[in-house]
Amino acid sequence: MDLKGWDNLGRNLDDKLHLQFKGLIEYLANPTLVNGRTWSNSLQTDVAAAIGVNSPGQVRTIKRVLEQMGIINTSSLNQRTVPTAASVITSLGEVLLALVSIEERLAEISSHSPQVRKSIETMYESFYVKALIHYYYPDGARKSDSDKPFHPLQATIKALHKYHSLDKWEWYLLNTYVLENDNPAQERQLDESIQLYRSRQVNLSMENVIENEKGHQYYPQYLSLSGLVTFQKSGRGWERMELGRKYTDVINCILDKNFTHCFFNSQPVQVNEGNELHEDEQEEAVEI
Amino acid sequence: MNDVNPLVTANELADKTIVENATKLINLLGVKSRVEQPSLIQEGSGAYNVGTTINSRNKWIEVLKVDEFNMVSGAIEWTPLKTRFSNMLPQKDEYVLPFLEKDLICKGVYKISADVTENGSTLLIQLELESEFSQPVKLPDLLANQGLSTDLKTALMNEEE
Repeated sequence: MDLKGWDNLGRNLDDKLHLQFKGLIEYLANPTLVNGRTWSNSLQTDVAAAIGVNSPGQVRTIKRVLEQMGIINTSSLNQRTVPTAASVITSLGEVLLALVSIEERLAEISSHSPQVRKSIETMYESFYVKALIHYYYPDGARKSDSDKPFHPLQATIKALHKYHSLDKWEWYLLNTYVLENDNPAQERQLDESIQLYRSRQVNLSMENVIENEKGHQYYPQYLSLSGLVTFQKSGRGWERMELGRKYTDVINCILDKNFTHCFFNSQPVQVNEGNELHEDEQEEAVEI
Repeated sequence: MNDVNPLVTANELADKTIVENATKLINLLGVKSRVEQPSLIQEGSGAYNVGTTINSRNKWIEVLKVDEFNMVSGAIEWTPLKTRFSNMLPQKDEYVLPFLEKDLICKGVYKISADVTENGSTLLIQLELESEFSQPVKLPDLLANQGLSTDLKTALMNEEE
């Protein structure tokens, strides 16, 4: 049985990305640095140097993650208009910016209060709940197999609600068969494959994963940060995920049969800039 | 047809959680609006912690001078002293705020444990002052201190009267 992960953006959500986002906004807030340029290769190269990444390609990847999380406005960085911090950042992005600034300030004054640390982590968690509600694949969960817009959180929560938990291989089965939200035929395929796996009629390992073999790392990492899904860890990785208990009300909204209809109707038309993700624009995935 | 939009509700719930958690964090860091101050003076070990507020927009710093201190209830009476600073926030060890109290001289800010928000609201900070029991500082010596602002000197002179 072949397994495939959903596409990923090749970017971890971590302190590094938070600081890169802050660096991007600070750069755009300075008209002298932007110097009347639109989102050209020249501006991307300078932003790359300012935020400490190697290439404009990595800046584009960071931009895409931030857009898909609702942290910066979609297509606000384009080749037609000169960007400013205000035109790019969303209200959710302002929350992240404030959080990063507070963290930096606390580090400067050497404040190590465990209570403050815990409070900041909780704040990040609620921030990522909101970000993951925004997050979706506009061009398909796996471009090689589908071009339909896809909301991975809804598909994940629906599967976890039905199956109570998913182990790593069941997660790959979900990624392999479910590429559209609320597609009965795909959900039936998932159901059959999970029955086969749970009745031990098939054995699965990483050798079965033939595409997007980091599929068990990037998106589960995002889920873990939000607390919407909790993970049972095993060694350096995880072995089982289940629905978190802190955000039942949000989860119930996502399980609502009208959720995906409302979500996709609310999305702006995407401007395809034709920037494909290259291997060198990805970074090594961090285990949960 | 269900009138409730689950996406809107999910976003509202997420926003509510962000606001609640941000409020907890802000309270933990001690950010208060101008009308919620002042903080009370607390007894510290080896040093007296003095409630202060700094307002970055109007550029003033306020220190509460203890008038009467009770070991059971803490500060019973206090006087706000206000002084201005030029264009930079006072940094650690940068400001010297000599402070007159019966049998007690507090001098030298040696710890600033928080910052000021930029939207005009103020963040309560704890300035921990070195303290030692000694003879009170004479007012003329205090007024001769170059580091004191005119406002603070005026306030001190008024206190003396």
